[in-house]
Amino acid sequence: MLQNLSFVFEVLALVIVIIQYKKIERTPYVFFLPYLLLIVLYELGSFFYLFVINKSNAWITNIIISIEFLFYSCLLIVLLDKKLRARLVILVLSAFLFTVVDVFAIQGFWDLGTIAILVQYVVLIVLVCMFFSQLMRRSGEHLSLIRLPAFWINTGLLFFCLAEFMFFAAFTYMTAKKNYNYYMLWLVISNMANLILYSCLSISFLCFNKKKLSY
Amino acid sequence: MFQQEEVIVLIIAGTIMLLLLGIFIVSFLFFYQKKHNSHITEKSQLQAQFDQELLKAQLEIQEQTLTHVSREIHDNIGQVLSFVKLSLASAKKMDDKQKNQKIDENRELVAQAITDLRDLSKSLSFERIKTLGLQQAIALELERINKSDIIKTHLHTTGEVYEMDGQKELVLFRIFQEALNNAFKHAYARNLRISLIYAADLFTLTIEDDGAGFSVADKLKENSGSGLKNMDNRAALIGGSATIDSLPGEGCCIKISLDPITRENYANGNYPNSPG
Repeated sequence: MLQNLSFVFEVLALVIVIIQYKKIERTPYVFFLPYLLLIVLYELGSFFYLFVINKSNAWITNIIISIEFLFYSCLLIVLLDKKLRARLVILVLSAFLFTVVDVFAIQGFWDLGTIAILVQYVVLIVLVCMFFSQLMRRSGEHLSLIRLPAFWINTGLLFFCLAEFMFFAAFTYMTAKKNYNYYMLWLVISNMANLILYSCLSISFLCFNKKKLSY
Repeated sequence: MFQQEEVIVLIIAGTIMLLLLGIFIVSFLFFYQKKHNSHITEKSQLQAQFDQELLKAQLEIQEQTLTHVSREIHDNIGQVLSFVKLSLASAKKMDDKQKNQKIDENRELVAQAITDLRDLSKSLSFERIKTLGLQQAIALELERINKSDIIKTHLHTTGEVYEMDGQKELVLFRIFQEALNNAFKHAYARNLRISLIYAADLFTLTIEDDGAGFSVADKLKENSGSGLKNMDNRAALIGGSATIDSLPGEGCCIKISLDPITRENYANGNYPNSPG
């Protein structure tokens, strides 16, 4: 039920992006269209077990999570101060390089690269916090946060990463034990995190209706 | 099995704590932004209030100038010219020698009227205060008042005169005018001492009179004390402070102090420099 609901929210976010396309056409948010399309296709494929190889779809999850990381980090770098751009690009590339090393050399391509996921989440949380701090330092402007698309995207992303962090931290240990409760917990946490993220994304795209903003 | 359950509890507790951290971060941002927005609103309101007060001060100075001009025209120039007219009319019946004498007398009177008119054209308007500067503007105003012999004024300037922000000088001049008006009309003062102290980090304008005096506390309670409140508000508006000392029968001393470098005009300093 929860899984279906989170899928509905992913599709809803995609539909809103398509509807709002004209308004986001000239902004970095336009890349959400191919990204969400990819996510929906991945979820659909996963739903019908299309990506299962060696009794697992971990390999495609590794790829999708890495794309997700690169997509959100690039978006956040664009939103953040230009002065920091070079350093942030190095940080993101380092995290991506570590992901490659983790997936191919440490945990293996056919297993979920949880160490890399944790590193990616830490980097994303840092970028989100930097964005929030940048918002706080903006002086002389009357800002309405709830009408700011970037605020919703960052909020959704923050809660998504925070919600899944502990789960992935215990993933390797718990999957080895094949604990059913852990599987149930995964369903709850993962779907709740997706629900939060995609509802925040939908709100952010709807914000383009109200006012054209630089963020 | 027990260990695995413990790990699950740990995951749930950890996730809840991390989510709470997220809620705290977002709430903090909201709270901060709300404060920031109210700070901006407050600042724009103070700016609007300042602009309004400035405009009011300009209008009052203009009104004062017009009153002075009309009084001068009516009481002085008008009288002189009427006298000249009558004098010239009476000259018809005089012989040539007396006529010449009369013409000379009237020429002197007309010359005096022209001088008075010229002085009048130099009357202080807010534009002139900007051009002259506060010290010169006060000096000229006192010079004009001294001519009337109603009140004796003394100006003391200490330190090297420097220019302040035009708006500050305008408001200071208006406070000076208000104090002068009070000393003249209400206190029936005979002597007025103005002191301007130009220190590097503090400017002080002191206006002392030997008039009837009053109880400051009583005056502020009454509606008639609005002039004093005005002075206080205006001093605060330009980032300064006003001290009013007076007792019945002992004259009055008004002291305005301000930091000449401070750029912020809308004073009181009640709003925080940064939100949060």
